[in-house]
Amino acid sequence: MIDIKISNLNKSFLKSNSANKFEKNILQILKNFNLDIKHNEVLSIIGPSGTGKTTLLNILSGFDPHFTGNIEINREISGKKISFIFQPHNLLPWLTAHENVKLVSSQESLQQNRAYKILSELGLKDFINSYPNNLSGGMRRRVSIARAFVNNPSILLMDEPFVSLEKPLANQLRDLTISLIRKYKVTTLLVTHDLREAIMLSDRIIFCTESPMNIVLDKKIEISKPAKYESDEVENLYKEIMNLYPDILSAK
Amino acid sequence: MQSLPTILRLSSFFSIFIIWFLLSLTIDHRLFVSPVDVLIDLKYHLIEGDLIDDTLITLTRAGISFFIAMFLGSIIGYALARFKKLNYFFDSWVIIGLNIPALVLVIIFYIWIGLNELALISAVVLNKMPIVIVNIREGTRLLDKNYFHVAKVYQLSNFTVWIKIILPQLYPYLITSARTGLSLIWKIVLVFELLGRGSGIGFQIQVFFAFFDISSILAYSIFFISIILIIENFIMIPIENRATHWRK
Repeated sequence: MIDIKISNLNKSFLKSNSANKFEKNILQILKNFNLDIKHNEVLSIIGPSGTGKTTLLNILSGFDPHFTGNIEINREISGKKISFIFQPHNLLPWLTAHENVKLVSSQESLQQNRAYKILSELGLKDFINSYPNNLSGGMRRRVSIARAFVNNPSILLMDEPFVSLEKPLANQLRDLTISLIRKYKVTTLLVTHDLREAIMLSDRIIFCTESPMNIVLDKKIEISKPAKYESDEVENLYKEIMNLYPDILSAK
Repeated sequence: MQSLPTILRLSSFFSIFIIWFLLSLTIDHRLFVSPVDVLIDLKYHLIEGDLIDDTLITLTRAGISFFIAMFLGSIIGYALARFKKLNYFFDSWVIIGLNIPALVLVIIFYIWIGLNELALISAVVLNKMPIVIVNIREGTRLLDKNYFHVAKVYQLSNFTVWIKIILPQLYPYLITSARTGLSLIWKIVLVFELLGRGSGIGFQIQVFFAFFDISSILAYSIFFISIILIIENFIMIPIENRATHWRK
C-alpha cells in the first residue's frame, strides 16, 4: 500500500544573476519528480546541498504551496496528522516544554493529556515546566521529538534532525526516534547527508542529483532492525555502497 | 550586598534634595525656593487646590493619545512590514512624521480644528505614532520564519499564530514603543496644554509662570513626575518583566 504518491512534481525559484543583478534566472529545483512512499516505510533521501530535498519536505508539509504536480496521500490516513522534526528544534522560547507540545496537540491529544505522557515517556517529566533556554541541547531535541509524536501522526517528515549534535547524543536520539517510529507505525521521510544514519534508520534510501533533483539510485536496506549507528552491519553496508558507487554522495 | 544598588539609588535621590536645600540657603532668593517651601505648596495644592483634578485631566489626555498612537502605530507598522509596496509608498510619510516639530503640528491643528481636545489629542497622536510605526515595522521584519513553519505543519489557527507566535516576538518592540511613548507624550501634552487649553497641568504652569510662582511650578512638576514614575515602576516594568520572564 502506498501512503504518499508524488507525481510530476515541479518547483522552480527565481535566482538573481550574479553578473547582472537586475536579471533573474529561473532555477528548476524539481522537474517531473516522482516518488512513492509505502505504508509504514522509513525512506531516506540523500543528496548534495541545494538538491531540493528540504524544498520537497516543505511542499509535503504544506509550508510551500507554490508548485505544480500531484501529491496523493493514502485515503485511509489522509485525515490524520503530518508531523515534522526540523533541523533547528524550532521550539518557541517563550513557552515551556509542556506548552510547546500542547500548542500543536489535537483536541483528542489534549483530552488524553498526551503532551504530559509523551514528555514523561521521553524522560522529561521533571522538566515539563522548563523553558527551552533552560534545557540542554539534547533535552530540547527530545521536546521537539515529543511534539512530533504527540498527535500520533501517520506521516513524519525529518530534515537532518541530528546534524550538529555530538555523536553520543545524536546516537541516543536516533535510537529514541526510530523506536517511536516503529512503535507508532509512522510512514517517515528523512532528509540527511549522513549515509550511516540513513542505513541505520531506513527501509529504503534514494540518492539524488541536484537541480533538478533526480533519483540516481533507489536502494532497499536489508539489515536486522533495530540497528545501531556504529554497528558492523551498518558499517559494512556503508562500505559496500561506497565501493559500488564511490561518487554517490556528491552526485551532480 | 543585594540592597546596595537600592541604597545607592535612594542616596542619589535624596542627595538632589540636600543639594537643592543647601543651594537655596546659600542663594537665598525668592525665585530659588527651598524644597521645604515646595513641599508646603504641594500640600496646599493637593488639599485645597486643583492639583488632583489637573493631574487627572492631563493624564486622561496623555492616556487617550497614548492608546490611540500605540494601536494605530502598531497596525500600520505591521502592515508596512508585511506589504512592501505599501511601505515604499508610505515610508516618506513616516520620515516626515518623525521629523516634523511637535510645536508646528499642534499650532496647525489648533488653527485648523480649534482650541479643543480633538486638536490636542490628534497632534499628540501624530507626534508619537511614527515612532511606534518604525519600532513595530522593524520587529515585524525580524519575525522568525521557522515558527511559522511550525504553525503551518501543525495547522495552528490564525488566532493561535497571533497570540502564541507573532505577539510574543513583538512584545519587546511594543514595550520599547510604550516606554519611550509614555515619556514623550506626557511632556508634549504639557506643552500643548500650555499653548491652547484652559485646564490641565500645562495650563496651570502657565498661570503660575504669569505670577512667577516658582514654588507652585515645582510642586506641580514633582507631583506629576512622581505619578509617571509610579506608572513606570508599577505598570510598565511589571508588564515588561512578565513578557520577557522566559529569558531569565
